[in-house]
Amino acid sequence: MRAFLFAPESPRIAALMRIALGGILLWDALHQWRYAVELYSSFGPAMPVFPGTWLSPPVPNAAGAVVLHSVLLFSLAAATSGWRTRTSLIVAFVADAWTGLLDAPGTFAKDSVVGLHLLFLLAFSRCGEIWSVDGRREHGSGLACPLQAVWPRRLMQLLVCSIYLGAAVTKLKSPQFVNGDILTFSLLDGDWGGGWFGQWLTTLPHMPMILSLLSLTIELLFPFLIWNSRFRRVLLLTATLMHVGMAVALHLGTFSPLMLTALLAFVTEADLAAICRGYLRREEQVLQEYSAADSAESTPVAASRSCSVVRSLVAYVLCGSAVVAGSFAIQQQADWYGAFGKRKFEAPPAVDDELYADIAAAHQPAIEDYIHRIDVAHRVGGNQAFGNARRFRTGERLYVLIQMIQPHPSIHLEGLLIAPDGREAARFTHKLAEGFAYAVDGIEFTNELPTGDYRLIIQADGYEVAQRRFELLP
Amino acid sequence: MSRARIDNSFGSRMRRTGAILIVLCYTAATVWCFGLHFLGDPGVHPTGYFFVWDMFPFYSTDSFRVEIIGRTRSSKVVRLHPGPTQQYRRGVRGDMTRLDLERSRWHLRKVAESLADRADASAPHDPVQKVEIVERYWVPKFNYFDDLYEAEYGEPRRPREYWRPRESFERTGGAGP
Repeated sequence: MRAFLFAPESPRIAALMRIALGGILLWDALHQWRYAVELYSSFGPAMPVFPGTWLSPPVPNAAGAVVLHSVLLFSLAAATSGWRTRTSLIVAFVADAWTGLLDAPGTFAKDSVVGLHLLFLLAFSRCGEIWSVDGRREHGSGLACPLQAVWPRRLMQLLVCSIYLGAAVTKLKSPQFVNGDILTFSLLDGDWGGGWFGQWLTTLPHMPMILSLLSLTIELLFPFLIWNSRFRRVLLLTATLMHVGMAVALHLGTFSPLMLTALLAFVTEADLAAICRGYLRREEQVLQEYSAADSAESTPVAASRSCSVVRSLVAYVLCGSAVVAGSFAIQQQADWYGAFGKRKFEAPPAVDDELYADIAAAHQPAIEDYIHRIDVAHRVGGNQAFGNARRFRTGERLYVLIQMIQPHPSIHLEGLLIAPDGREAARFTHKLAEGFAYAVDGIEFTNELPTGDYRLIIQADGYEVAQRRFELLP
Repeated sequence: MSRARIDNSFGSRMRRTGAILIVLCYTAATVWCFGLHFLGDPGVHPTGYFFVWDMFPFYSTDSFRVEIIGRTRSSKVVRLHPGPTQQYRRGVRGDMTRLDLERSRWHLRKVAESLADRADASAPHDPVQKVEIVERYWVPKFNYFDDLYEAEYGEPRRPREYWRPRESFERTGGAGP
């Protein structure tokens, strides 16, 4: 156990994670900067995640929100470049948690929690010793560095495993996830849903269910098999593909990039060497020479070291202050929200009478809007339809699978089979109570029915909602 | 072959003890919260949110946009939201305000009051006396892109939107902020 947690290792993986994490959070924070007054100030007003608890931090005024957010920007930039890394990571953690907890709708979500965990754990590593400003200052070339204990990376591995296992437990408890419904409607969601590609996936038969089961399988296997060296690379690759797929198909913000960063915790030096062999070989030599020696031998003498630390600290504070001041000056000058008294907004516009009458009427949706999808099939299993719906044979049964949106009122469904000569050949009726997501019914093609082109008219509460055409063969 | 020297100084021992404590606390929090989540216990403390990974717990089958309407003293009906002080946008089509994103709807009233205060400040002679929070909503199939909708439903996409009331309240003061 001691070796598992405290074995020395190169901080290169942690440094990679620091650069990736800092870059992702910085990119996200830059995107929010323009809206700092709206998102994080009492002017917005702020929408705390946990109102009335100790996890509801003080809400700053407009100027305070801009300053707070600018501190976050600077600390993230400094952490990414590895300048006073530990301080920057701690400041970034505090500022990120503070702003996140003030903005439930725009900023705070599970992805920001993953980011906070990684910031917290990286602060205990020596991720700033290499590929960083600190590394260059301390060790000259910026290549050699002291080793670190492995435990911060172990906790990041625990984090990744708990994320997958927790997500798998949630999904296992939701039958709607296993049958693909949650993925379907998530891909159609206006907030985190898919673009064209993601929406297209929902139109492919069985695809949402297949993708749901695949992700569940990966999340269940990963925490147990990742520790086995035979499966490690395969699982890493699979999880990477899953997150890249999620990033392409859904709008999940920073979730996929952050999870890819967290997965780096399972990457080893050997993997790194395999990826960038030439660069690391040169670095390995320098690193080995340095690691063999006592770190004290390589560090500058105490006096010049403390002088360098003070210089760096002063430069850090000055640079941070300049960033905050510059950011504040721009926001105050632009005053996009009128919070600094430089802009006044007109009185709100009047609402058109016709529109207001429409709003007041609060009409119920048309009956066909409660129906999401209709499948005609040879076989139905669960919520999946199978078989060629264009051709049937005498003696076979036609199934109709109707998917409803929730909630819906009690609906009377009917299916009218129209024969080639235009007469009604058969019908089914189905009373669907509230709360049911699917209706399954059907018609049997008896020997009396002539062959030819048929139509099936589907009605809901007496209104036609769909038609399907197919051929009946002998 | 040289063996690594073990640093047994006080500082080093303190660092090791601190590391062990952090590992224990972090692991305990993770395991405890996972246990609660596994059993379905939502937990009583908000810190649990930081250790529970319940992604994709539910789905929504409607899409909506929040609109806030004010009736002024002179019976004029004005739109308070979306307005110029709600500029943040997100979502697949980049048209969702913070109130559209906030599905818990905890903050609806607070934002509505704040917007009514701002409207009063811009027109102090005609303050807002009644606020109505309504939702414009539609079913998810209308979120499909036009070509996908047509391929899926066999007709051009012509979204139907509806309105539903969410909350309304009277304002007695009508004073500016």
